[in-house]
Amino acid sequence: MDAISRMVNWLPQLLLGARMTIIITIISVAVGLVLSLFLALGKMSKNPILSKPCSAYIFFFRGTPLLMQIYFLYFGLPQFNPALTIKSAFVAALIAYTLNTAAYLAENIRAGIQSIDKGQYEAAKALGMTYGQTMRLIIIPQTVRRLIPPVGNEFIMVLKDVSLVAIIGLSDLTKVTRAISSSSATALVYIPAMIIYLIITAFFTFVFNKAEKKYSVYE
Amino acid sequence: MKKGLALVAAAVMALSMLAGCGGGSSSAKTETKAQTEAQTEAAGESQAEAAGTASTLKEGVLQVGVEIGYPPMEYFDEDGKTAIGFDIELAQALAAEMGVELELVDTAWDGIFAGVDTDKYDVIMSSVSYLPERDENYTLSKTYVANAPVIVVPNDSEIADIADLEGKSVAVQMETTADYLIQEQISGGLNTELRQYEKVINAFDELKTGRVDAVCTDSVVASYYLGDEANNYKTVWESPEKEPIVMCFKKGNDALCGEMEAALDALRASGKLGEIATKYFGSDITADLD
Repeated sequence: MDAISRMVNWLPQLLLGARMTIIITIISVAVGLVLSLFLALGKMSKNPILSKPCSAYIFFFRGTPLLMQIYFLYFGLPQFNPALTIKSAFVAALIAYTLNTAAYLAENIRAGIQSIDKGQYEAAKALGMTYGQTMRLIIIPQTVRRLIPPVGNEFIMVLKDVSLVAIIGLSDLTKVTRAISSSSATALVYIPAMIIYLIITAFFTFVFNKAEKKYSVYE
Repeated sequence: MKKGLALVAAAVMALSMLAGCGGGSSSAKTETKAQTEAQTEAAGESQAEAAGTASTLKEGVLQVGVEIGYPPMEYFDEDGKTAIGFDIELAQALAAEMGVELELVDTAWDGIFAGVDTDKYDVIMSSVSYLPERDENYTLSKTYVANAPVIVVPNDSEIADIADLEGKSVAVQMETTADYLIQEQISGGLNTELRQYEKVINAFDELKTGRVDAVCTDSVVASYYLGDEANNYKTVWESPEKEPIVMCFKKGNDALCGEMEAALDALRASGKLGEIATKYFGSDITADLD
């Protein structure tokens, strides 16, 4: 019983850390999703001026460790030019996670778009639609449903990757857990911490499942 | 920080830090009876006590055990093989003063104490903190340098004392003496934003970019991590709870301990000690060890 009361005592701190984790995850995935749509369309473009930079971006952010990206953005850039100093660690984290997750999401979106049958493009063309109209009115609405599972997957990945923000001094759920563990000299705190992670994951899985059902009415 | 951080022992340390090799150590022993759970680094305490009191120097060579990898106390120069650092230069100066040759024995921290027990070297000079349980099992010299948490701020900062951190932010390395010190201050009512980093270097990165107002860290590492920019920063506060750093000999080797303490005194008198300290720490932190 003593163990349980200790775990309850840690809850306020843990929840504060969980709040940081959730905020960073939601904002980065939301903004990253917008950015990734342009990246995906850019990468699929036949114009090399568009497709090359987008491919390079995706290659870079998927090909280097997120840990290094965060480190470089926060500690590295100011050493190249003080004007590139990001004042707030929180803002730096948001930028890093957004840029990173956009690269992964772009590949999901590209896969989603390319999974739509070719006949749809041909039909749209027959109706005299431009490429933009075809994308906006025909392809992307259908892609949305197919995108929900991989986006949900990416969301959960980011949720756990947020544990890396400790290196720039932010206190997310993992950092708080480690701090409690070392100050109380016990690993007991990992139990409530993991339960909180599971609750967050369960909640967002539920939300994504609901969304998937809602958008599947057309299939 | 790395070597034997024992907050509980701080009070005992303060009483006995200047006890030196010979007579004073008995008081430390009685102080530490309560600390029965304290770890014992000596593999065989009884053998160590039975050791002779004569200097173990053979053929005019002073062998010094050191774990080279703790800047700026002992570390390799950029070429990766030249040992430099405060302890290294001090050992060189001591050997020169004693008229013997110096041989550095680079050894892992893990097992460094067993090495002095088994006569692999005559003395350990490797940022060994004074700990009461070490004093029981080894012959320790008097303090030659002391480590203490300090607060470093930019030259133009208005922070002049730990209390001035009120409403400011301070960076520390996670789970170090400095971290615990600021946490204590916060629970004592100080309203400051504590920013914890995994590496000391990142705390200084934050200070250099101006994202924090101050850094709290060990006095012995502060100037090292400021590097070329040391002149733009100042130390404004030093903890009164110092962690004494001593030379460590095999138990009972009072002769060599006395000889090296005498050489240390000579180096202090000639100004050489202060010179080495200033080179590595930016100021002579060996001057005021009380």
